[in-house]
Amino acid sequence: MTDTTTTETTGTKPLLEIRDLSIDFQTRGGPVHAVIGANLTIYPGQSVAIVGESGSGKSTTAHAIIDLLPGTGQVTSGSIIFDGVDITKASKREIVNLRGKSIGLVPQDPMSNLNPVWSIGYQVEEGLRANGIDVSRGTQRVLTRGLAETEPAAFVGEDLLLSGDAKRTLLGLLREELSSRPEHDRELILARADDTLVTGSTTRGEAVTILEGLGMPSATGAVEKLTSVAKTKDRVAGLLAEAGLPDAERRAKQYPHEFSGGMRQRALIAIGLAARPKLLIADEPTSALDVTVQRKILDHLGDLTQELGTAVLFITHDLGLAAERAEHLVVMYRGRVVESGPSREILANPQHAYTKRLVAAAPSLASRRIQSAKAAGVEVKELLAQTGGDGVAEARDDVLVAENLTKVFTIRGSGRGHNAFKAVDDVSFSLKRGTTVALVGESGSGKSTVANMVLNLLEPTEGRIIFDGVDMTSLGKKELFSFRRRVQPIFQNPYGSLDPMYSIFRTIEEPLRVHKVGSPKERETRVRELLDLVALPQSAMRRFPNELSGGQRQRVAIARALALQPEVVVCDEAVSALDVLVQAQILELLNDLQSELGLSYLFITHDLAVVRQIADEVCVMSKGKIIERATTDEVFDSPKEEYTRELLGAIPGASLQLGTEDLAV
Amino acid sequence: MSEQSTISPRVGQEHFVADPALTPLAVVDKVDETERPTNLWRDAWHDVRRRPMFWFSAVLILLVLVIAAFPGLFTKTDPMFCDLSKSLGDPAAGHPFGFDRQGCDVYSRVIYGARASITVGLVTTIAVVLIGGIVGALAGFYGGWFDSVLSRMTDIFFAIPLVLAAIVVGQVFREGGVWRVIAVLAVFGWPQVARITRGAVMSVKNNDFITAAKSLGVSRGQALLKHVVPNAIAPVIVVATVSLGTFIVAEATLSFLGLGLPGSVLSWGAEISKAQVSLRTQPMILFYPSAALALTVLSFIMMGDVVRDALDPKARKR
Repeated sequence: MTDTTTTETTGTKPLLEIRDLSIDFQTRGGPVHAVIGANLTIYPGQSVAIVGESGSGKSTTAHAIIDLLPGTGQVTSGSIIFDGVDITKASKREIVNLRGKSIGLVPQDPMSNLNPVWSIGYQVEEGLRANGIDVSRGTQRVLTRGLAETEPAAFVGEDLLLSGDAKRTLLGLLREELSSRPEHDRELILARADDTLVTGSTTRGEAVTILEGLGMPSATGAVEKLTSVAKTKDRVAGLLAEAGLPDAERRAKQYPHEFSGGMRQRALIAIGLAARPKLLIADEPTSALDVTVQRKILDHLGDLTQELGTAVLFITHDLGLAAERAEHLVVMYRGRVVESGPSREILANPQHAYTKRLVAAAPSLASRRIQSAKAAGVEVKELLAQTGGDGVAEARDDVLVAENLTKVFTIRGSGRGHNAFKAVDDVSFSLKRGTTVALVGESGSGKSTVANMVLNLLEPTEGRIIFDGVDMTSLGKKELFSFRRRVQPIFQNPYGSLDPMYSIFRTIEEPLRVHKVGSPKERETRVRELLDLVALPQSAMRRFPNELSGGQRQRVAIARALALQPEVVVCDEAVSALDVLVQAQILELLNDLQSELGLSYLFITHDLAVVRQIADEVCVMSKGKIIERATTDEVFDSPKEEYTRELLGAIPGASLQLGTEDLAV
Repeated sequence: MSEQSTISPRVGQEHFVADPALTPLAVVDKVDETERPTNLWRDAWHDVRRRPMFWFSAVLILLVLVIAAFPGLFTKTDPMFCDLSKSLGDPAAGHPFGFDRQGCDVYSRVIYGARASITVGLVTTIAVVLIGGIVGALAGFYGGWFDSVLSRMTDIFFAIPLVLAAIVVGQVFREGGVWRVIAVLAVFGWPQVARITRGAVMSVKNNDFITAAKSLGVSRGQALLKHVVPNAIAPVIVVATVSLGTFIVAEATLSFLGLGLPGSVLSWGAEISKAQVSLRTQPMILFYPSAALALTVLSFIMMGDVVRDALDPKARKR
């Protein structure tokens, strides 16, 4: 479908043309070149994605387009021509005019980008008002003028939008019309009409077609008689409905805290598209959302923008997602565009060394590649977790067994009394020595609660955890202290898991000191060993966490976890916050450490793509329960549950064709 | 694959590959070994020493501290030697600020008055940080009913007006001099620090590194002492610096009202109080101790501001 539009529009003028754009940030240590000589072209209705790791300049480029560079950022050279206007030279007023009306933005974080004190509807309305789109008065005037004509034209206001009142009137008329039909039929048809007639989005013309299709021959007459048209309030509901929010009229009155992350993102999309811009910039629009929600929202966004003919500029770090959602890719690295071109071509035939690296590392692509390689009957050793032979078939003892774990939290209710909330419901699994079990689930599935119980940071309400044959609930304080040595955690947020006041040396030494291992001299030798083990230079010892990158901090966290030579490591979303290349590196490190030290991992994650690369066994969790438990191959090849299939389908890149031939990179 | 070759690429949309020499591939996630190690305090120092306001207030504070410690270095005149014949006399050689109603040298009285003000300010601040810090840290870290009890206690002390409390305490304990004033200010000044500490501790204690420490086997008390407190101390230092100035003002206020230091102790507050009767005839007698007080307080508050900026977590590089 994209191919035809490409050929058709060949030769039209570009909507956005960025030429030799350079952006500097002023810092204490002199200017930092965030973007250097970037080129980018977007044609009307086209979707383009900028892909790169954090710090590559992708967001800076996007923000320059709407002249919203943060802090000391400044365009030093180059031009950004949007629809014939050079944004780098335009006046403040011109730019304010462009924002919203011509260029919309869907920001990254749905949690902080909606104002908590205003209702959702008000915030969408703001998007209309700020751009001078007054639905109420303008449309009403058109209608009144049309009706006032002595001999009205055949049909007045075909393009006008349906109001909430009008919709209710039409539904009433439809019910009368269908009164002869059997009740069951009638309700079905009415429900369909209720769904398809969208307040503030369906035009009068469309309403006629819909109603006639549902068996109401008098539809034209009925619609013609309607004197009310969509007001701003109706349009707001229409916009929200278009963004895929069910029951939009009622939802518009609610406040952000009543919305889930996915619903907020839909509201933000509605705001971004409110003024029908020609270009929509989507800055990592779904990175904060669960995978299945992410997929639904991106599908919807794709359909909607295609229908409206809006060009979309995606900013993302996920190459798989970019290639699937955009026709054209722009790969940025260290401030420069290193490669750009048609998505499929880049994916199939990456030229620049960095793109090659990226294609090889992206977990979504890697997981797809393993899948297609298996289908082709090729064994891809280097991509899969190494368990030392056919891990699962081998007789290994269970190092950790969870039996019927249940955790009930009491939540202080708004009314009287307490509400019991079952976060974890009868969860059982076992972890074999030297293997990896992944607990996969979306937010709220209870996977982190299970991790905390395994780490003995939370007491299970029911059930028990047996570690190396010993029931942990029976442990005394002293035994618990020595148990701590044998099970260690690695957390998700590399910025929060290291004490900023502790040097790297002190951080890694702490567990040794707490457990009184060795003399100070021996401890230092051990710290140096551990740094070597996680491939950090020994000189990093004197540094503080704020000087290290996310990946480096995660290495430090791994070193700290390994200091006491544990048997089990609980990785709670340990790689989720990292850039893909770094993520691949850390996963590789974890794999190496496993085969070297015989570690067992309990790997908690929301990302099935990562699971493919590291786990031997997978437990899929949903609403506190394990709904599917099998080896990784089984889960990927023949998922039993609908939910698992949905999760698998949500891994970006399903539609991409990846040959096994590019495995060599 | 074959269909793609049929698409005629648009201008600026062909497959473009940059010159690899322009962006040589860096080793993924390499540690920068060249940069000098830094941490919060070193960063803060780096930040602070470029600010003129820091040097201005630092020099002033240092000067006031030296005056308080060794007043004899700055004047040879005895502040207690008064000559009624010179009452309200104009400045003369060796007496740059003139004489007050009792005929005492204003300059030397301002110099000797520094000690009481600075002592009260410093000791009260230390006491307040200790009491408030401990209460706030315990309340914030342990939470639950313990927090409720401590927080309500803080609120009660917060609700009592300082001057009223000083009057009552002054009636009950007539002795004590400087220490009585310090005790009153400390007992009614700690709630503010307790609140700040509690907030800071609560925001730190939910970090993953606290959980990590616990799962290493670090006890709760040790976690509080070794991980939470060092990370929560910055805002407390800021509040302490600013409130040092306000305690000096509070002492002056109490002395002005006759509730503070006894008449035998020289202090800026008492000087201001005595000078008000001569305000019409010789306003300069009021001006000098007031100016000394204002400058001292100002420099502490400015220092607090500078420290706040330097320790602001948002300003730190990640």
